[in-house]
Amino acid sequence: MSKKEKIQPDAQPKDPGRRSFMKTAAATAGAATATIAAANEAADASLMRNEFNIKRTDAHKTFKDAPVSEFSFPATGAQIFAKACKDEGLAALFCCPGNYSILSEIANQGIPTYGGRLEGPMCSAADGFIRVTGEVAAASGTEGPGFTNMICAIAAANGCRSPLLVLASNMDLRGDDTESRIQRGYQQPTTEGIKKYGKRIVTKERVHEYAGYAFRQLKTGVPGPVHLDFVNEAAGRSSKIEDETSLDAYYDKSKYRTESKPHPNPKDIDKLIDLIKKAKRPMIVASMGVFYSKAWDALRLVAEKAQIPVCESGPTRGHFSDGHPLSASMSPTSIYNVDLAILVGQYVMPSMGEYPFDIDCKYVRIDPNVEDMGRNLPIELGIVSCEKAGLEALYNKIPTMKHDSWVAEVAAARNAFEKENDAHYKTGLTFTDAVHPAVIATELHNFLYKGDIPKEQVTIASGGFGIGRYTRRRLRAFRPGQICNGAYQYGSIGPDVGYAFGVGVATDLGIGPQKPYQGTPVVAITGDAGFAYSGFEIDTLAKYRIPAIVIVYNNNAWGTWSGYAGNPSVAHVHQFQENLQYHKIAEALGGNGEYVTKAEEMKPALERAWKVAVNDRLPTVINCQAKKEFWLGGRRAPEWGPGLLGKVEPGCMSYSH
Amino acid sequence: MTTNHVDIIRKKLKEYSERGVFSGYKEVQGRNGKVEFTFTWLLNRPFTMVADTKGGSLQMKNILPHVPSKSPMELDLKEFVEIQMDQKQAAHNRVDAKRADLKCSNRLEKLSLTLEVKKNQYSYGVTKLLNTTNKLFGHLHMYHMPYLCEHFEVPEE
Repeated sequence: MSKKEKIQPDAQPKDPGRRSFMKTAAATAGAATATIAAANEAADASLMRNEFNIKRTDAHKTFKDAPVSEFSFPATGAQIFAKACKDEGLAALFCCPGNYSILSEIANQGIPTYGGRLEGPMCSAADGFIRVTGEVAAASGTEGPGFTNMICAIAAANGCRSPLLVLASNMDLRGDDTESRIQRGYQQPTTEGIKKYGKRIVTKERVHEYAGYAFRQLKTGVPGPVHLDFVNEAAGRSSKIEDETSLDAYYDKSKYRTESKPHPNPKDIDKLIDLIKKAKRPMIVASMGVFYSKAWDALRLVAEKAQIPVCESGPTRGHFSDGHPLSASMSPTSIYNVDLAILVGQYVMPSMGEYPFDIDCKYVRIDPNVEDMGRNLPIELGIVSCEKAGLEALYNKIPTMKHDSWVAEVAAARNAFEKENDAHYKTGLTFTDAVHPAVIATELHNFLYKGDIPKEQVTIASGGFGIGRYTRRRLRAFRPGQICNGAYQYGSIGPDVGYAFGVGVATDLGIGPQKPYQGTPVVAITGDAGFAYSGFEIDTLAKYRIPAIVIVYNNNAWGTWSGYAGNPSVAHVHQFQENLQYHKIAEALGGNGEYVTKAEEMKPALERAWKVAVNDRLPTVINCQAKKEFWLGGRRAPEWGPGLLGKVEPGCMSYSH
Repeated sequence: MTTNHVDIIRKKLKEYSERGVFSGYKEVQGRNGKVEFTFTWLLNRPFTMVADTKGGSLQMKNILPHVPSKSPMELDLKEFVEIQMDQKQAAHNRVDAKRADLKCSNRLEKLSLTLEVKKNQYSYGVTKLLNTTNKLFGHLHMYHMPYLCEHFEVPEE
């Protein structure tokens, strides 16, 4: 750990034990804010580093204290749109400079607005924020390249069905097809297939109307990204609207959309109960629809009443606690014996065999989208319903049931899985000149769940490719929104530090299920390949004083190296230089850095990083030095340990569906 | 009598096909009275079940190519098959030794699963062999990903 000058003012807690931190963080919002404010004050005093002469900003304070604009006519299109966003409760905006009118007016409305280093990771930040809160957030980039820098992140959000509002500016409509000046382009075709809805807004009189279109899509049905781009005539300085009579469809959300949700047909619930009674080994697969409809309590009640094990899937984990006796998320071998699978809110449907249930397994879906019923998997019964309404209706009608032997089988499978994890850890400890991924995963698990930190406290952005195969097995979610399941479905490498920022902001603001944990540090995992894509947002984390511990699995190569190691023509394509100092990058960007080269260094590094997070409200990169040869392991080369682990879905290892 | 057993097998496989578990189901008469049923199933690959009702067996033929003899993978898969025959497991989790015997064979580096059916319990045999194949692929996904990437075009990510 690099030396730094530190001043210890009275306001700064000394070596805060985790319990004492939790006491203050779990207090009322006002007290928590005061604690954070005091820590920030202390942080300002302790942050000046001689080594790098980094000058801090007041970004983390100024935007929260900035006055909120009062809306009035005459107003520009941007102002009208921003007001609509405010009225709809848009929870945050993540951006880079550009799209200035829209960006500024959204910020002026008091919607928390965060500016980062790259549009892609900032769009990922919005996605990560959404995935742990369930609320709508926005990402913004400028026309042309700022917008196209977000494409991968938009595609990832689409894969996750995240209600992400993508905003981008565009040049003036008058100059269409001329290539005059710079950055002209048609945006909407570019997001074809990776959004739920999109519109190029060209008329200032319809800005409010199209805000209604956008939020109808964001807040109803199966969510997904909505992409709006605004030509200058619609949102720029000259887009003044004198009064509301000039606006089309100018009425509020109570008129332009409904909060009504589909409810199940009672006969379908009867059929489902009949199927459950006939099944010997039923399982509920609880996916993202359970989270977005806030159906976790109803889910637990159904599971307990009918004693049905629950396995999670999706881009977010925690809507069924891993600590519950009926949790099947860490029981992969029990999956093969499921004879009735009740898929609730499974928007990203697996194909036959991807969930390896029993060959005679019957499939039931509870889903709000009738058009998706029967896609990919043949259904025995499709129940069109909001997930919460469906589960509540099921709870009200289903009799108390017992599946003792099946539950025991699931528990036995869980024990076997944990024993396997322990065996990997033991093998990992035999490597003394590098840190094995099983060691990283286990030490992190022990730090988060077996020490003084309450196990439901820390929210995780779980990323990485190869390292993710180990950490997913050990990370636990005990409450809704506790794990953002990184590279879900689209499988992009590297959004993880972006996710960390979004998850950190969600916790910092205390949004939705993060409220009881407001102010708590967050943890992110990524690989060295991934760090390259979004690592610069360490600056953003530091700028906004978002306390995050980012673990970088540094194995000197892309995870693909092991498949090409024997081919000298291409092996180099998959390699990096060795022992790169990512922790020094973090320090140079205003964060803290740790370099771990041995197993026994991992725990102390986590503890120091936690202290920095709590005391200084700064991010730490823990650069864990591994070996690319670890991925050669497995049965072909057991001297390198278990190798790149496989996975079975659904459950804690899921990231495809 | 023999024809009835093939009918039972055919009916069972057709049920799975009509339920959407398989796609592309078809059958071909093989040599020595054997019938070969082919269908598209896991990882969108063709699978062939050979019904030898004279010999009393069902075989998932050549389901895993390129498995070297006496390799760590072959040894692991043989151990996997033995576990399916462990009579201490719950009934749904094992092959009932009173009803069938499960074996694994490797010819020219092509691995097959064979179920020797006892007392003509072919309906049980079909279900059990398919379930075992399903579990085998789950096992491969957990413990032999590089093999699946190389020989079944499973994406490395």
